Amino acid sequence: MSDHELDALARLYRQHAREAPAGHVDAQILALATRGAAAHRASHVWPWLAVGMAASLALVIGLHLSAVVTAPTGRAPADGPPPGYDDGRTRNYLVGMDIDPPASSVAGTLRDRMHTP
Amino acid sequence: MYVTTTDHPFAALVASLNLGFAHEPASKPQDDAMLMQRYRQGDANAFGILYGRYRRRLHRYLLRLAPGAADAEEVFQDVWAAVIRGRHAYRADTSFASWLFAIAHRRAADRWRTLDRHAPDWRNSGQDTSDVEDVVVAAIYAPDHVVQSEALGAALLEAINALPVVQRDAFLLKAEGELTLDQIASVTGTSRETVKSRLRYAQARLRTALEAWQ
Repeated sequence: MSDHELDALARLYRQHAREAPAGHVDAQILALATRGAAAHRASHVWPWLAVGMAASLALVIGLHLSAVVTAPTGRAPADGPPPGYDDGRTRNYLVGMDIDPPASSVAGTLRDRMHTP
Repeated sequence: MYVTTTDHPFAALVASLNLGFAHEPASKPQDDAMLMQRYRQGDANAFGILYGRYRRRLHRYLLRLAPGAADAEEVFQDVWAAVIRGRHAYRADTSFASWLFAIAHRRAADRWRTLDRHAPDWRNSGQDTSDVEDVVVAAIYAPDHVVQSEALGAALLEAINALPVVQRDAFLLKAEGELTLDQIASVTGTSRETVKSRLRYAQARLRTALEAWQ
């Protein structure tokens, strides 16, 4: 068999064979391929979307729990008690403060008149 | 019986014709593999390029094996659907053309067997006689004496259509698929020597059919 002659026949055939698939067939196949590619992309998006949603949920729950724990004390989590909060000296000072108003001459005059028959 | 020298007059005739091709150039296998890889990753444009490369070749391959154009179109769509669905089964170390035409060969054979009408005998050894010569005579005496190369091309297409199906299949896998002997053997599930034999018979028949043009 002569490869040269067979190749020449193949080239001659290719020169004269001009049929092509119809346009609607092309459209159907390309649409099917596009759907396949889109499905592939979607299948790769969902895992990442699920991971993102799980991370967001964990963050929200964490923040919520942190707020619940810190609310009764009102403390900053990293700092100790606020200055003077548990300091007995401060409390004693506040309890021992003189809260009576100072004596007033006007008040004394009024009191005297009310008690005078 | 068959002349095997490269200086056969027919070779000179073919060489004398202008063979600037309307045929798509053969693509590099690694390029095809790269495009398939991109398509597997969701790039539909990559598939579009591959489809553009092979759509005409595959269509003509099936058209010349099918009992009718409608059957060829149906199998054509079926083959590409199989490529799309089975894209993850493609191995990048194999020729895309070989993989594609192997699918087409199987689908076509299954289709014709299922139809069981006009079904070519895929087990035919290729020894059938045919009236290829009549085709050439008809072309020679065609009215208006069409341009020689066009008439020669038409005669060749008719002669190919008249080949026994296994020879036609082997020739088309070479001409349209641009497959090697080993690849054709793999696609058709035969040995390399069987493919060589089929191509040799096909070549002899085509040569005989075109001898009147020399």
